[in-house]
Amino acid sequence: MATTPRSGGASGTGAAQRPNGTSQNKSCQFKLVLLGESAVGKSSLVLRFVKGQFHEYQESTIGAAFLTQTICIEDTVVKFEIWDTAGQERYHSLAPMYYRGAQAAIVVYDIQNQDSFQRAKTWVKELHKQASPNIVIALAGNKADLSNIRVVEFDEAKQYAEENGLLFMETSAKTGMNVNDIFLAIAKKLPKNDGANNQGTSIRPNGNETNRPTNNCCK
Amino acid sequence: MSGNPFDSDEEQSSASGEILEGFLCPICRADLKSIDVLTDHFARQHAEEEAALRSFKDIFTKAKKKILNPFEDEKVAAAAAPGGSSSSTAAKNPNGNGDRNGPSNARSRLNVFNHMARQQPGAECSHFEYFQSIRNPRLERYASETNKLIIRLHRLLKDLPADSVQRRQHEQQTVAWLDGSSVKLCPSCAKSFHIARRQHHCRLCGGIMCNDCSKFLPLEDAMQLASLSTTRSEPLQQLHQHENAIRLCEHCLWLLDTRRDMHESRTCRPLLTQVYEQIRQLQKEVTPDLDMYLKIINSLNEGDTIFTLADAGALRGKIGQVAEAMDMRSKRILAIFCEPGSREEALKKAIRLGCIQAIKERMLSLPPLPEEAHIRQMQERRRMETQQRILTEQRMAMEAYERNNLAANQSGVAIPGAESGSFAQGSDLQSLTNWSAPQAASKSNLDDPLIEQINIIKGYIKQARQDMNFEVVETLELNLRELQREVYERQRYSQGSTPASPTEA
Repeated sequence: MATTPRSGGASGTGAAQRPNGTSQNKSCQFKLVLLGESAVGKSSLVLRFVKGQFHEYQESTIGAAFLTQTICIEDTVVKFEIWDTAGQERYHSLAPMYYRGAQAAIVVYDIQNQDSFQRAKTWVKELHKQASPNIVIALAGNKADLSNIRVVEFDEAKQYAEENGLLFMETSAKTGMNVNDIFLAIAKKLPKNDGANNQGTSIRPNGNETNRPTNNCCK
Repeated sequence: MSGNPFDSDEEQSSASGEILEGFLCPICRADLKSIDVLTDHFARQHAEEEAALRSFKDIFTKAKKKILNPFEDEKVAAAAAPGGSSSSTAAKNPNGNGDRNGPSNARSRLNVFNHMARQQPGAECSHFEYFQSIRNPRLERYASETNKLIIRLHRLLKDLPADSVQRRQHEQQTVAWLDGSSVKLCPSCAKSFHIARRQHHCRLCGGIMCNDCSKFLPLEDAMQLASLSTTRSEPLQQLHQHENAIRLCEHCLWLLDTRRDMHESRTCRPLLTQVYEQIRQLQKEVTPDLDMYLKIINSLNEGDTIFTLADAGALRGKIGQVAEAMDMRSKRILAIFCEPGSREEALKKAIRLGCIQAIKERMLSLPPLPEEAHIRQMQERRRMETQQRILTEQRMAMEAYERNNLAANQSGVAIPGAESGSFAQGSDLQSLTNWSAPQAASKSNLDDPLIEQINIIKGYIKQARQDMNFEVVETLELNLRELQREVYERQRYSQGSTPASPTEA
């Protein structure tokens, strides 16, 4: 895994990859949901990915947050609709609403916190049981910049991820380490040639897309 | 999804990086400010998109809504109930029990649903009438069907010929067999009839089935069933012992079996009841014995000679036996198996406790037998007292006699009566004439029979003692005493001798 910090390049690459109506022949839209215990850094992770920012004192999310980010992989424009859920237990009942129909999920834990890793495991279990069957799940061990006081070993998490068929990276929203990489890895793993991807999400009345001859996203 | 703000959203979030946060609906992305509103909104507005989850969520939110704001819901329900609920129930069970009772049943079901829509949390509503409206016709149908079968069975068994050909004719006369020419398949197993699988008829409904689907009712059982409702026909039993059973279809056998089970459950008495009844019987029987025992002990203590110490001992032994029997039976009740913690167990314990208490209070608390020496002493004292009294009475009588003589000499009129009443029986001449003369006169010619009577009574007493019938013993003893006194009086009267000691053996 790459260990080079990408803090400076995050927002820059995000902007560079933006297609902005380029003549690429494929466009996909994915619903992605972030799950995990509270205060593991879900919102920070998304904020780093979407805006390249990091707040030391990120306020805890209420309900859920919605963000979008578009990236380019090869010749495909991938738009992520990111649902950043609140990790607090009282919002747990809302989570199914958000992960339902999601094509991708990032389950986040804090490498300094064994409980958050256990909670991540239960989230994975719940997703396997309740979410759409071909959902792409990534496991993110956040706060990797504090790896000198880690509790959850890398190998342990890696092994768990492999056993359960998850993407796995240790990330740091503070330094930006692996943040873009994990989203990219998800985007690569998602099936993009098939318009059926968009079944679960809303149909968008986008003239730009409907004009395209290859458009087949309306079932 | 007409109000989908996706386009502008994309522009905003991409360009200016605006982040939406709050209780966002995952589909229309509206901020709904609270968890409940969000879940409610999601379930209602976007329900049609996910048919699978829809039904579950719907029920959930409706129930919740009902609990949260029943008043608002009431109005909606009142408006929607006549059309909405009826159509939905009709859609859910288009062929439930509606076909059984037609419109009346359907209406009552609708009523039930109306009640359900209107009811408050915690409200109760009786569905008993609805239950009855379904149950009663069904019961009636089964009862009439079963009765029909029983009548047929009875007719069938009444003069059932032993010969197989005649029997067959008789069976066909009693119950018309269905014409099997058009029946190609067995109605219950759907296998075709051919030379190896022949048609058979149910002897009670005449229906057709194959041999494998036939059921057989043993003749003895059939007899029993028929005699349950009609008069018994004993001679048949021996006549058809070699015939084994009656061929029936499954449905008829089921009806008959159900009837038999019902009858058995109605008439059978559990072991518990039987044993308890025995206990009650024992208790009832022992009550007069207890009273008698107390009486005997009292009379013994007073020095009476009607009862003996042996009597008391025997009676006490008998009571002890009864107590033991009661104890044993109550233990037996306790030993009957039942589920722990059930009401049956509690009942058994209560019975046992009641028995123990009854035994303790009534039987074990009886006064002990008096000692023989004590009794003898009491009897001795009594005899002494009696003799004392006799002596004084004799003296008084002598004085009275002398006074009488004196008075007679003076006025020539004897005045018996007032004093004579206070005299002891047969202790002086005066009272003798007053008291026993008429009886003695009437019985003077029954000399022998009187003695005979005494002997007979003695025999009776002996017998009664053996049977521990102490009440009879008491009466007989008193009778005997009277008779003995009678005899004694008469002897003395006839001899005209001076009074002797009147004590009897």
